Amino acid sequence: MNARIAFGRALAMLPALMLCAVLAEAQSLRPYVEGDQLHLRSPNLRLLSAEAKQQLRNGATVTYAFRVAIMGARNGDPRVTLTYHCIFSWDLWDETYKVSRREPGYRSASRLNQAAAEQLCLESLVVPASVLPPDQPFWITLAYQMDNRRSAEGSDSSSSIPGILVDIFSRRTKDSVPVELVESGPFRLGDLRKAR
Amino acid sequence: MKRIRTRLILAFLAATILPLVVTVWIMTSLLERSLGFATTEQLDRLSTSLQDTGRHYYQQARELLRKEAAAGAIEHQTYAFAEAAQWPSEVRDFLESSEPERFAIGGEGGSRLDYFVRKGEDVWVYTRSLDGVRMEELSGEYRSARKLVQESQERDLRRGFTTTLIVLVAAVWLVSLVWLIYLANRVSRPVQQLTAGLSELAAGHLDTRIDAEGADEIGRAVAAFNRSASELEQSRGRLVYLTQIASWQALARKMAHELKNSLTPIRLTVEEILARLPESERPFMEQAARIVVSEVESLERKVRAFSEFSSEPPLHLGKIDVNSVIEERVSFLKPGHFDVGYATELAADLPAARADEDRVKGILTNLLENGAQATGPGGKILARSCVQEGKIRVEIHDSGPGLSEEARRTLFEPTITFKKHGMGLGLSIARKDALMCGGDLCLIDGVLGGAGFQLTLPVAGDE
Repeated sequence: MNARIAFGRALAMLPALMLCAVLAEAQSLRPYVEGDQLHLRSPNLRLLSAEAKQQLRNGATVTYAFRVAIMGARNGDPRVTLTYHCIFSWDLWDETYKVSRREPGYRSASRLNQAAAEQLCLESLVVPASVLPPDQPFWITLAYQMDNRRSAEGSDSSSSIPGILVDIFSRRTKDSVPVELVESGPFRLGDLRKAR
Repeated sequence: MKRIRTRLILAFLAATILPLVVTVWIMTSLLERSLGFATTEQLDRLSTSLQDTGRHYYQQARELLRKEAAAGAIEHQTYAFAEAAQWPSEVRDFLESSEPERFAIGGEGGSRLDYFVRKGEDVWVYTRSLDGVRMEELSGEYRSARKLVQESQERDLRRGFTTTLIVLVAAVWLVSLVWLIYLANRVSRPVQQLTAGLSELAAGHLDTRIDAEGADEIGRAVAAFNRSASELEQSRGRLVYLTQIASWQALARKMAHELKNSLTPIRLTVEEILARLPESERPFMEQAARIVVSEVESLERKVRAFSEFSSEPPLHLGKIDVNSVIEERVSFLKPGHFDVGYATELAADLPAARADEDRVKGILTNLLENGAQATGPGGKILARSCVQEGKIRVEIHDSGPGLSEEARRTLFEPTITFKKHGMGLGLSIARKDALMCGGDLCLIDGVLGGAGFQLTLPVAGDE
């Protein structure tokens, strides 16, 4: 009787476990080596949040901040940390995306659909192969967050005291933008080179 | 006294709080109404509709251009691959992409639609005007409108304006309250000092003075208090002096009477003894009698002086020309002290004084005589007159050795002498006479290096 109950429970949990596995797969990183650089790819990862897409459709640009960390073990201390910023914009009439990477070198591509824009952004996040351990496994953590700060051009510039006070008191409390985290591994540089 | 301050503050609170509440209520009502007009919901709908219309128009323009290009209805510009290096950037960008065709907005403000098509390795570009519609400007307008909408959605303007209004009104009110407390303190402090000063004065501390501030009613009240206290102090000093003098006079009168009673029989008895003596004893007795009579005469002079000191002749107050009296006294005494230099500095237009002329003459005679005796041959005496604080002031300065601290302290007390001749009653009588005339006599810093005296007399008509 007990065995049947346990089997029933396991059967009931199976869809949930499968969903978790699918989500984990969707969120996983698939790095590849091209030349001396490690590129990141995650075909099912959706970077742009609903808020970001709303801002883009309002004609504003949206900046995403990325932090790529290489670790020797899962949840270990990062050996290398790299920071990137990608700027997304939306063509109102063509209804296509444009994405540009600010640093380390400016790169830009336009007339993209959402998936292409997101993947192009991800692939532009590169890690020099020289900083990776040649024969030891490593983990990659990608943390990203929409940069919610308005550009100085767009911000209010009330100079009078009443204006400043109205600005302060009329603000609605906004939820802080969450930091999304994707962690994958272990990888070996040799395996990645072979996979190429 | 804190009650005045508290009352002022309470009056301010009572006078301001109700109007303030009414004002805030009126302003928030008006604000509510004005915010009701300034809705952004219409802007939200309008901008969304504008975008839909623009996009629709753009799609139509694209389709039309594509059809016209396919039908060869419009001219195209050919970009040969061989000259790719000279191509404009947008054509080269299209070539490098993998797209089979591309539409792009160009021209001033986005008033033109370009259609890029690959023809082998070459690129053909068809162009069509958007009939005056500037798509880039439209984008800018839409972006601004959406930004306003988004900002409005991110804010609660009603709350912002109302809170700001309340905060600012409260701040202004608090600043006013602080200012009022400061003013209340400032106003009540002199009143408090005045009350404390009056209490001190009532307790007999006539030297109490208050620091006067400002020329307002309070300042004038403080000045009047200080003046009254000063006059009270001076009056009390004079009264005390006159009382002392009266005591001394009574004592002198009694002493003179007793001495006179004894001296007359002594003198008569000595003269009788001398008359009855035989001729043989006369030389010695005559000499002894002369000594006794001389001493008796000396004692009689002193008795006369005491009598004069104690006598109180009637006062004859009247208008007197002080400058004339000074000049007359100097002229009168100058021959007696030909080796002393006299000088006068008399104020022009000096008003008449109200005093007893004989007593003033007596006072000046005493001062000038004392000065001449103190300064000696070759010395200088200066007599000055002026009006200060509504009183006539006469100053007598000498170039003598001046007075010691001890002498300054007991100068006007009777029976003290600093001269070879006289009883030392002169200055006491002089001050008493000055006081009887409504003035005073006091010692001041001498301008010639010696002593200096100041006689104060009331101006005639200044009762």
